[in-house]
Amino acid sequence: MSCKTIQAKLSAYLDGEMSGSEMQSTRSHINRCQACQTELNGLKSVQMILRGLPSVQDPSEMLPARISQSIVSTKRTNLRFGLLLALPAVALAVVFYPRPRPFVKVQNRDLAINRQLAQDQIFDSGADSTLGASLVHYTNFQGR
Amino acid sequence: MLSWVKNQEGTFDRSVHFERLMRDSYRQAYSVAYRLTGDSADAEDLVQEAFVRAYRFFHRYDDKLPFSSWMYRIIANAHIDLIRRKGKIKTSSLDHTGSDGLQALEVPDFTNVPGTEMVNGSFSETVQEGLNQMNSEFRMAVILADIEGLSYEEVAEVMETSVGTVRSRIHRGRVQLRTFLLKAAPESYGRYVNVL
Repeated sequence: MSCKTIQAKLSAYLDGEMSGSEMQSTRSHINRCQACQTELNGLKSVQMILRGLPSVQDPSEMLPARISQSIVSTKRTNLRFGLLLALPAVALAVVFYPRPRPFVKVQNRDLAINRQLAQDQIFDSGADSTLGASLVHYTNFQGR
Repeated sequence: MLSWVKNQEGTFDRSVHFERLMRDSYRQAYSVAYRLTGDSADAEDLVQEAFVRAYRFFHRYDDKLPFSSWMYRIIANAHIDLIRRKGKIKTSSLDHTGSDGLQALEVPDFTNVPGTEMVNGSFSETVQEGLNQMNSEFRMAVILADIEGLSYEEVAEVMETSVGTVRSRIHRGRVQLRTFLLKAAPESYGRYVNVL
């Protein structure tokens, strides 16, 4: 393998993030190549520097409260935005929704149907549905 | 407190659970955000934005992934969005490609500034400056691997990419930082090389 190929893999070699055979071949190249050894040391020093960086100072103690507040405001904004979007739809629905017929008319119609049903039942039972008089009475009339 | 946000069944528990996770992880999230932005105010803004997003999409969170890793992912995406929004891509000086195929950095030369003495504190600031100059994807990979100590596989999971890509990003990021430090703080950097 060329130095260029090896050098592109040096970080993975340093971190042990390569297969066993790859590690072996890279190691044997580094052992006999000064340029790649120098390159590896450069990367190792960068890694050491990054690992040795001091811890970041804690953020403001108010940060959790700020985050919570921000979440609450976002939820309210979303709710307001949702309502804002919904308002025109509600207005359109109110304007264009077909109005139901007056309840009284429906009631009258229902009464008429009920009355008809009652008359039909009387007729079925053998009585005169128009007069409400029994057929017995009607037979008597014919007999007279 | 988030717990009073909603009293509906389920939603209440979700808020309480989220708040607990947030309080446990915000310092770690801030640490990564600081390394990404290099500025405490920007880092706090980034953390705030990331947690707001996390709360919005909390129903998608799969607890097989550690919450901190999920937050790193959100922070990385929020940071990229922040850079785009602000239009302050600090890596604009990386347009030229060097002989090794890596992009060359435009590095301020601190060596000729009179009275400039690289001690630990200022050297760590120089390192942070080097991180700031790095391509944002390389920076995230390097921070996660070298500062947060994640494995390549974990970095790949956080960055939603392949291990091969992570390997390349970490390597190129380290090479960029080394190039920067060689120019910006050769003496301090040299001390670390000499140890090896």
